[in-house]
Amino acid sequence: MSTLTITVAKDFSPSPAGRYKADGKFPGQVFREKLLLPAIQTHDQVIVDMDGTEKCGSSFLEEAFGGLVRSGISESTLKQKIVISSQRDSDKFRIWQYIQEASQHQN
Amino acid sequence: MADASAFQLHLWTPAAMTLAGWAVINWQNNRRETRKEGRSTADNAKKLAKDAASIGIGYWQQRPDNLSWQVKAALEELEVELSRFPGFAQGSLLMNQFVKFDDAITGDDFESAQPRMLTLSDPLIKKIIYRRNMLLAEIEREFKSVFL
Repeated sequence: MSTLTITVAKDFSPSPAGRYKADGKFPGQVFREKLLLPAIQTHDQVIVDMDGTEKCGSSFLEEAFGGLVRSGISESTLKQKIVISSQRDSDKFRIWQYIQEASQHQN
Repeated sequence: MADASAFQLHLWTPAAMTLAGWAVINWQNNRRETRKEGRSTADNAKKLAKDAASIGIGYWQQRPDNLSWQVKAALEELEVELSRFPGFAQGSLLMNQFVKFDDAITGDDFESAQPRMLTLSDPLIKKIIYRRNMLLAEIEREFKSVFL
Protein backbone atom coordinates (compact mmCIF):
# COMPACT_ATOMS: atom_id res chain seq x y z
CA MET A 1 0.00 0.00 0.00
CA SER A 2 1.49 3.35 -1.02
CA THR A 3 1.12 6.21 1.41
CA LEU A 4 1.83 9.87 0.91
CA THR A 5 1.89 12.49 3.64
CA ILE A 6 1.03 16.06 2.72
CA THR A 7 2.34 18.40 5.40
CA VAL A 8 0.17 21.39 4.61
CA ALA A 9 2.35 23.94 6.42
CA LYS A 10 5.52 22.88 4.57
CA ASP A 11 4.21 21.57 1.26
CA PHE A 12 1.64 24.30 0.69
CA SER A 13 1.43 27.14 3.20
CA PRO A 14 1.29 27.71 6.96
CA SER A 15 -1.49 30.22 6.21
CA PRO A 16 -3.87 28.74 3.64
CA ALA A 17 -6.65 31.17 2.86
CA GLY A 18 -9.57 31.69 0.53
CA ARG A 19 -11.49 29.52 -1.83
CA TYR A 20 -10.54 30.14 -5.45
CA LYS A 21 -7.36 30.84 -7.40
CA ALA A 22 -8.39 34.48 -7.73
CA ASP A 23 -8.51 34.82 -3.94
CA GLY A 24 -4.80 34.66 -3.35
CA LYS A 25 -1.69 32.50 -3.43
CA PHE A 26 -2.85 29.62 -1.22
CA PRO A 27 -6.58 28.98 -1.63
CA GLY A 28 -8.51 25.73 -1.34
CA GLN A 29 -8.86 25.26 -5.08
CA VAL A 30 -5.09 25.34 -5.62
CA PHE A 31 -4.47 22.98 -2.69
CA ARG A 32 -6.96 20.54 -4.11
CA GLU A 33 -5.78 20.71 -7.73
CA LYS A 34 -2.03 20.83 -7.13
CA LEU A 35 -1.63 18.55 -4.13
CA LEU A 36 -4.68 16.66 -2.90
CA LEU A 37 -6.17 15.35 -6.13
CA PRO A 38 -2.88 14.13 -7.65
CA ALA A 39 -2.01 12.45 -4.35
CA ILE A 40 -5.35 10.64 -4.16
CA GLN A 41 -5.07 9.51 -7.77
CA THR A 42 -1.59 8.05 -7.34
CA HIS A 43 -1.54 6.70 -3.78
CA ASP A 44 -3.58 4.23 -1.75
CA GLN A 45 -3.50 6.41 1.32
CA VAL A 46 -2.98 10.14 1.74
CA ILE A 47 -2.24 11.57 5.15
CA VAL A 48 -3.06 15.28 5.34
CA ASP A 49 -1.10 16.75 8.23
CA MET A 50 -2.56 20.07 9.33
CA ASP A 51 -0.11 20.67 12.20
CA GLY A 52 1.72 23.98 12.00
CA THR A 53 -0.97 25.66 9.95
CA GLU A 54 -2.93 28.67 11.03
CA LYS A 55 -6.57 27.79 11.60
CA CYS A 56 -8.18 27.46 8.18
CA GLY A 57 -11.38 29.20 7.26
CA SER A 58 -14.32 27.05 6.24
CA SER A 59 -14.10 28.58 2.77
CA PHE A 60 -10.64 27.04 2.31
CA LEU A 61 -11.46 23.63 3.77
CA GLU A 62 -14.80 23.28 2.01
CA GLU A 63 -13.30 24.15 -1.36
CA ALA A 64 -10.29 21.88 -0.84
CA PHE A 65 -12.10 18.81 0.47
CA GLY A 66 -15.75 19.27 -0.49
CA GLY A 67 -14.38 20.13 -3.93
CA LEU A 68 -12.92 16.61 -4.19
CA VAL A 69 -16.45 15.22 -4.28
CA ARG A 70 -17.45 17.80 -6.89
CA SER A 71 -14.36 16.71 -8.87
CA GLY A 72 -15.81 13.21 -9.06
CA ILE A 73 -14.23 11.37 -6.12
CA SER A 74 -16.83 9.53 -4.08
CA GLU A 75 -17.19 9.94 -0.35
CA SER A 76 -16.52 6.22 0.15
CA THR A 77 -13.25 6.45 -1.80
CA LEU A 78 -12.19 9.42 0.27
CA LYS A 79 -13.02 7.53 3.48
CA GLN A 80 -10.70 4.74 2.34
CA LYS A 81 -7.90 6.97 1.19
CA ILE A 82 -7.69 10.10 3.32
CA VAL A 83 -6.43 10.36 6.85
CA ILE A 84 -6.54 13.76 8.53
CA SER A 85 -3.91 14.43 11.15
CA SER A 86 -4.26 17.56 13.26
CA GLN A 87 -3.86 18.72 16.83
CA ARG A 88 -6.87 20.93 16.28
CA ASP A 89 -9.87 18.78 17.20
CA SER A 90 -12.25 20.53 14.84
CA ASP A 91 -10.17 20.10 11.65
CA LYS A 92 -11.02 16.42 11.22
CA PHE A 93 -14.66 17.00 12.14
CA ARG A 94 -15.07 19.90 9.72
CA ILE A 95 -13.32 18.26 6.79
CA TRP A 96 -15.41 15.10 6.95
CA GLN A 97 -18.55 17.19 7.34
CA TYR A 98 -17.76 19.12 4.15
CA ILE A 99 -17.10 15.90 2.29
CA GLN A 100 -20.38 14.44 3.52
CA GLU A 101 -22.36 17.59 2.66
CA ALA A 102 -20.83 17.79 -0.82
CA SER A 103 -21.74 14.15 -1.35
CA GLN A 104 -25.33 14.77 -0.25
CA HIS A 105 -25.57 17.70 -2.68
CA GLN A 106 -24.38 15.47 -5.51
CA ASN A 107 -27.13 12.94 -4.75
CA MET B 1 -17.59 -14.27 72.56
CA ALA B 2 -20.57 -12.15 71.67
CA ASP B 3 -19.47 -9.67 74.32
CA ALA B 4 -15.94 -9.44 72.78
CA SER B 5 -17.33 -8.74 69.29
CA ALA B 6 -19.72 -6.14 70.56
CA PHE B 7 -16.86 -4.55 72.49
CA GLN B 8 -14.64 -4.38 69.34
CA LEU B 9 -17.49 -2.92 67.32
CA HIS B 10 -17.99 -0.33 70.05
CA LEU B 11 -14.28 0.54 69.87
CA TRP B 12 -14.06 0.93 66.08
CA THR B 13 -17.38 2.61 65.38
CA PRO B 14 -16.34 6.23 66.15
CA ALA B 15 -13.21 5.88 64.00
CA ALA B 16 -15.17 4.34 61.14
CA MET B 17 -17.78 7.07 61.31
CA THR B 18 -15.08 9.74 61.34
CA LEU B 19 -13.48 8.24 58.25
CA ALA B 20 -16.83 7.95 56.50
CA GLY B 21 -17.65 11.53 57.36
CA TRP B 22 -14.30 12.70 56.07
CA ALA B 23 -14.82 10.78 52.80
CA VAL B 24 -18.23 12.35 52.27
CA ILE B 25 -16.97 15.87 52.98
CA ASN B 26 -13.94 15.31 50.77
CA TRP B 27 -16.16 14.11 47.93
CA GLN B 28 -18.47 17.09 48.35
CA ASN B 29 -15.54 19.51 48.33
CA ASN B 30 -14.07 17.93 45.19
CA ARG B 31 -17.44 18.10 43.49
CA ARG B 32 -17.81 21.73 44.45
CA GLU B 33 -14.36 22.59 43.10
CA THR B 34 -15.04 20.71 39.86
CA ARG B 35 -18.32 22.57 39.50
CA LYS B 36 -16.59 25.91 40.08
CA GLU B 37 -13.95 25.10 37.47
CA GLY B 38 -16.64 23.98 35.04
CA ARG B 39 -18.57 27.21 35.63
CA SER B 40 -15.42 29.22 34.97
CA THR B 41 -14.77 27.29 31.75
CA ALA B 42 -18.33 27.76 30.57
CA ASP B 43 -18.33 31.48 31.36
CA ASN B 44 -14.99 31.99 29.65
CA ALA B 45 -16.11 30.02 26.59
CA LYS B 46 -19.28 32.09 26.33
CA LYS B 47 -17.28 35.31 26.49
CA LEU B 48 -14.91 34.07 23.80
CA ALA B 49 -17.85 33.04 21.62
CA LYS B 50 -19.35 36.51 21.90
CA ASP B 51 -15.96 38.07 21.10
CA ALA B 52 -15.50 35.83 18.06
CA ALA B 53 -18.99 36.71 16.79
CA SER B 54 -18.28 40.40 17.24
CA ILE B 55 -14.95 40.20 15.40
CA GLY B 56 -16.54 38.06 12.69
CA ILE B 57 -19.39 40.47 12.12
CA GLY B 58 -16.89 43.33 12.04
CA TYR B 59 -14.94 41.51 9.35
CA TRP B 60 -18.02 41.07 7.15
CA GLN B 61 -19.09 44.66 7.59
CA GLN B 62 -15.79 46.35 6.94
CA ARG B 63 -13.57 43.78 5.35
CA PRO B 64 -10.14 45.28 6.02
CA ASP B 65 -7.63 42.82 4.57
CA ASN B 66 -5.79 42.27 7.77
CA LEU B 67 -8.76 41.26 9.88
CA SER B 68 -9.29 37.69 8.68
CA TRP B 69 -6.40 36.48 10.83
CA GLN B 70 -8.03 38.06 13.88
CA VAL B 71 -11.25 36.19 13.13
CA LYS B 72 -9.37 32.90 12.91
CA ALA B 73 -7.34 33.64 16.03
CA ALA B 74 -10.51 34.36 18.01
CA LEU B 75 -12.10 31.10 16.85
CA GLU B 76 -8.93 29.20 17.69
CA GLU B 77 -8.92 30.64 21.20
CA LEU B 78 -12.55 29.68 21.63
CA GLU B 79 -11.83 26.14 20.49
CA VAL B 80 -9.03 25.79 23.02
CA GLU B 81 -11.46 26.73 25.80
CA LEU B 82 -14.22 24.45 24.51
CA SER B 83 -11.79 21.53 24.37
CA ARG B 84 -11.80 21.58 28.18
CA PHE B 85 -15.30 20.11 28.06
CA PRO B 86 -15.13 16.31 28.13
CA GLY B 87 -16.17 14.73 24.87
CA PHE B 88 -15.53 17.81 22.74
CA ALA B 89 -12.72 16.18 20.76
CA GLN B 90 -14.87 13.12 20.10
CA GLY B 91 -17.50 15.11 18.24
CA SER B 92 -20.01 16.08 20.91
CA LEU B 93 -23.03 18.31 20.33
CA LEU B 94 -20.80 21.14 21.56
CA MET B 95 -18.29 20.44 18.78
CA ASN B 96 -21.18 20.33 16.33
CA GLN B 97 -22.44 23.77 17.39
CA PHE B 98 -18.92 25.20 17.39
CA VAL B 99 -18.31 24.02 13.83
CA LYS B 100 -21.61 25.51 12.65
CA PHE B 101 -20.64 28.79 14.31
CA ASP B 102 -17.21 28.65 12.68
CA ASP B 103 -18.82 27.92 9.31
CA ALA B 104 -21.21 30.85 9.66
CA ILE B 105 -18.28 33.22 10.08
CA THR B 106 -15.57 31.71 7.86
CA GLY B 107 -17.62 29.99 5.16
CA ASP B 108 -19.17 31.59 2.10
CA ASP B 109 -16.57 33.85 0.47
CA PHE B 110 -14.49 34.45 3.58
CA GLU B 111 -11.05 35.67 2.51
CA SER B 112 -12.26 36.26 -1.02
CA ALA B 113 -10.32 38.63 -3.27
CA GLN B 114 -13.63 40.30 -4.14
CA PRO B 115 -15.22 40.88 -0.78
CA ARG B 116 -18.81 41.85 -0.25
CA MET B 117 -19.56 44.51 2.32
CA LEU B 118 -22.51 43.39 4.39
CA THR B 119 -25.02 45.33 6.42
CA LEU B 120 -26.34 44.21 9.78
CA SER B 121 -29.57 43.05 8.17
CA ASP B 122 -27.78 40.70 5.79
CA PRO B 123 -28.80 37.04 6.19
CA LEU B 124 -25.16 36.05 6.72
CA ILE B 125 -24.83 38.40 9.70
CA LYS B 126 -28.11 37.12 11.11
CA LYS B 127 -26.82 33.58 10.67
CA ILE B 128 -23.68 34.40 12.66
CA ILE B 129 -25.78 35.78 15.49
CA TYR B 130 -28.13 32.79 15.38
CA ARG B 131 -25.22 30.33 15.46
CA ARG B 132 -23.58 32.27 18.27
CA ASN B 133 -26.75 31.97 20.34
CA MET B 134 -27.06 28.26 19.61
CA LEU B 135 -23.45 27.80 20.72
CA LEU B 136 -24.02 29.78 23.92
CA ALA B 137 -27.04 27.62 24.72
CA GLU B 138 -25.09 24.45 24.07
CA ILE B 139 -22.21 25.60 26.28
CA GLU B 140 -24.68 26.12 29.11
CA ARG B 141 -26.38 22.80 28.48
CA GLU B 142 -23.04 21.03 28.42
CA PHE B 143 -22.00 22.65 31.68
CA LYS B 144 -25.22 21.51 33.38
CA SER B 145 -24.91 18.02 31.95
CA VAL B 146 -21.25 17.51 32.88
CA PHE B 147 -20.71 19.52 36.03
CA LEU B 148 -24.04 19.57 37.86
